[in-house]
Amino acid sequence: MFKIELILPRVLKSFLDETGAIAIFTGRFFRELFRPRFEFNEMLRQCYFIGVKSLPLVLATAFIMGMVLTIQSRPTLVSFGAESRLPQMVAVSLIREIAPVITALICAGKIGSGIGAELGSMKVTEQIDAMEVSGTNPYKYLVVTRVVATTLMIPLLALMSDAVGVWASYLGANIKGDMSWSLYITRAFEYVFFADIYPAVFKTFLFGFAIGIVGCYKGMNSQKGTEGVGQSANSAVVVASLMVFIIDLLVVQITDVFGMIN
Amino acid sequence: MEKISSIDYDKKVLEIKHLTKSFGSLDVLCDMNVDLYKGENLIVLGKSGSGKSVLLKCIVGLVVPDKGSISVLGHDVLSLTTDERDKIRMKIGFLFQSNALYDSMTVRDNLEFPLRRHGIKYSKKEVDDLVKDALESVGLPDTGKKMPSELSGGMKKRIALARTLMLRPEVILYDEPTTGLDPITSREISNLIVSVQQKYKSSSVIITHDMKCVEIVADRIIMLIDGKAYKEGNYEELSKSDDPQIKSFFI
Amino acid sequence: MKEKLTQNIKVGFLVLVGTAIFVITLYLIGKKDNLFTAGFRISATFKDVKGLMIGNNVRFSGINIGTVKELIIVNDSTVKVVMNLQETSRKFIRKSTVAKIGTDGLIGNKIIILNSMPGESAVVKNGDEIDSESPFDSDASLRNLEDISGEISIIAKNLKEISDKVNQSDVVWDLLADSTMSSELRSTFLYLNQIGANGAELTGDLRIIAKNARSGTGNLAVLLNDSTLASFSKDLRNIMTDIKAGKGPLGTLISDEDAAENIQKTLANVKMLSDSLAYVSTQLTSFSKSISSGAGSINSTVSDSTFINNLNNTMLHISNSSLKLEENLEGLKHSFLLKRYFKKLEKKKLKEINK
Repeated sequence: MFKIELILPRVLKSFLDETGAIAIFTGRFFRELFRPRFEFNEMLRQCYFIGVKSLPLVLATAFIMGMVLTIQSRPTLVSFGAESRLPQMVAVSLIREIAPVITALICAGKIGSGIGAELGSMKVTEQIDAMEVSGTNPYKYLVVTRVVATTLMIPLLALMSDAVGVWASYLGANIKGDMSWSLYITRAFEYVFFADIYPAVFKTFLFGFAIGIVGCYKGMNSQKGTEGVGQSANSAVVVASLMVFIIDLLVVQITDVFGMIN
Repeated sequence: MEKISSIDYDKKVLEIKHLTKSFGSLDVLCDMNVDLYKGENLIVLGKSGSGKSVLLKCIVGLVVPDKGSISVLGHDVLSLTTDERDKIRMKIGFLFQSNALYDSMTVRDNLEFPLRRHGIKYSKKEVDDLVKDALESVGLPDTGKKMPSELSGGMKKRIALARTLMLRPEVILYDEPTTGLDPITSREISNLIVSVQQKYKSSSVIITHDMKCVEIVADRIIMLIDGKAYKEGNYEELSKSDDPQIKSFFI
Repeated sequence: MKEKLTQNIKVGFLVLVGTAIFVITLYLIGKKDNLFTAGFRISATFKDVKGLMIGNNVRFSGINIGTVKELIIVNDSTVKVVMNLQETSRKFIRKSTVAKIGTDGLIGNKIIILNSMPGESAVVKNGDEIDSESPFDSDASLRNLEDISGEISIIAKNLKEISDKVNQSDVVWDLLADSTMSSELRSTFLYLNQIGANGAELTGDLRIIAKNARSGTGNLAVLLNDSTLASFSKDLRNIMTDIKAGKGPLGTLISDEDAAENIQKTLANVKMLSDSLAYVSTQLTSFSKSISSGAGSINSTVSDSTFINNLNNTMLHISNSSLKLEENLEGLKHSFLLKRYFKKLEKKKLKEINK
């Protein structure tokens, strides 16, 4: 009998194995999501840990990114005599790309590893088994709540980092220039269109979903022992970050196909 | 603690027949047969990796066996729906080897968790009484507000036991209850198992390789070697056996 | 329980703030696109909208007063552009307003520019259609101007060479030294001056003609394409090259010593040439004037100042050259040195006969 696994290189085999496993895991997530008994309280609790607890980190990053981007772009624009375009350039790049992706990466690091490690250690210390014995579906209680929470919270975090990033860029622009807040905002939004906002917000939902799914998958499939927990936290971050970039690329392609980039 | 035996040999609470389970090419359980009578403390004795934990996990349905049948309180657990299985699980307590206390919850929340999850409405007073009773049964009445990380190993084990007692189970499964504890704590836990069994009139399956525990707790012992029930008997019978495989446990 | 409540409150706060930011962002974009201000719609039709897109700005006197709402292809050569304008700007927009497609900055988006036209006209109503101005094809007219400027620079060069030659030519200066010629020459030049006066009159006429030509077609491009002008400048060039090569009357005068007897004839020719030059130069001046200050459509679109400068310089050059030539002729008129030259010639002849 022909066996496909014999001719595939080991790296490719493990990659396909992992991809398939994550796909099955995602399928199970959707099955569990629409079955009754929704763990609303646990989801709120996860929203608190994922959303509120990540807020300071995300906002600090957005602040720094907004300011650095402004300060860095200024000399280039000045050399073209286009200094007045600074708000537009920074706002477009922040809203379209930088704020969503940086937020997602920070969250992949913080939340992805957090979920990976938490579920991993729960798995290792049999807490997940204990939950199942206590009449609780761990997929619903642990996975669905966390994935829903990341899917809902990361867009909010990204929107907040949009705002803080633009504000920081206003401060950055005023280090060497003099521009009022209202003028800055008017300028900044001169070249931001609905076609920039919708894909940018849409992709943050996908980022959140990917971070949640990957973190949970890695945690639930953690190997025994403390080393296994560390490994699942680590690989959750790596895979989630990679997923963020892949999704970013796909969304750009799709929005391009639909002619939403102008 | 003085041990009073009150075993009802007419009533089987657990009946396992021809249980077989293998992971890949490794046969963990081969054609295993176990019966547990009401009020009995059954010790399953075996070396590490001899499939003892798998046996317990098959009973609660965490692991699905390849072959055989498992009947708990007259219900075939393998052919139940998810809801029915959850109902049976309410009557089975499981004390995990690593305690499996939820790190993110207080001791009290840990104890309440099974109550809330099984979908039965309890009044606040009922919950308070159950928690108080369970904590007193394990001798730690004032730990309700602590987090599991603040407790010592022995205390964690007691709290874990208290949690399994919350739903008044008819069968309690102990997975290596004394592993990782010092000899004195081990003995305390062993005595606790006996007292709990007498207080709640439950039946127990205890997996261990701690002979001190076996001596205190056992009504009957099953020796598990290479995935099979190698020998069955009480403590005295087995300790006098000439079989080198059995003797090695009693040294 | 209390802790859980504060947690939920914080989550709720996060959700509210995030949603508020989203709504504010949408509002800011919407405001820019005039989604929320009361407005009215007008339209204009174009042959070609040059890549204008829905959402592009509409400007009136340099201020954004609205956006492009719709682009409708009416038929194969007509595109209807529907604009949504702010109600507050309505009172300034008359029915005679002309819409034009322009560019925001050097490389920016396409925009619609509304230009008000002089004269009274009613204020637009919702749904009105205003006139449009098809973008002037500046490339074609610039190409024409380039051709002409090429011709002009050749003329200028030739003129310069002529004046240089006149300056350096001993023959001319010898002629100037001959005094016997002086009275005859004086009368000749008097006559020439008269012709010059006539020339000035003629120039005025020509200006009128040029003006008519310009206003007659309403498009300077046609004038620029006018073959008569081109053929004229070509003729002029031919004359110049002939002179340079020593052919023609002036060439003979400059290079051939034996042509002294025909000096009168030659001078008449020179006068004719100077007339021609005057004609060309007035023609060119009026042309350049019409470019730099005329009211034609070329004025607003030809903004290449370097080209205009070049053109002006060339004109200056030409007028300088013709001035120099005039001066030379003046010198010739007042000189009696020519007499000596003719004496010399006679002596030479005598010597030859003696030999």
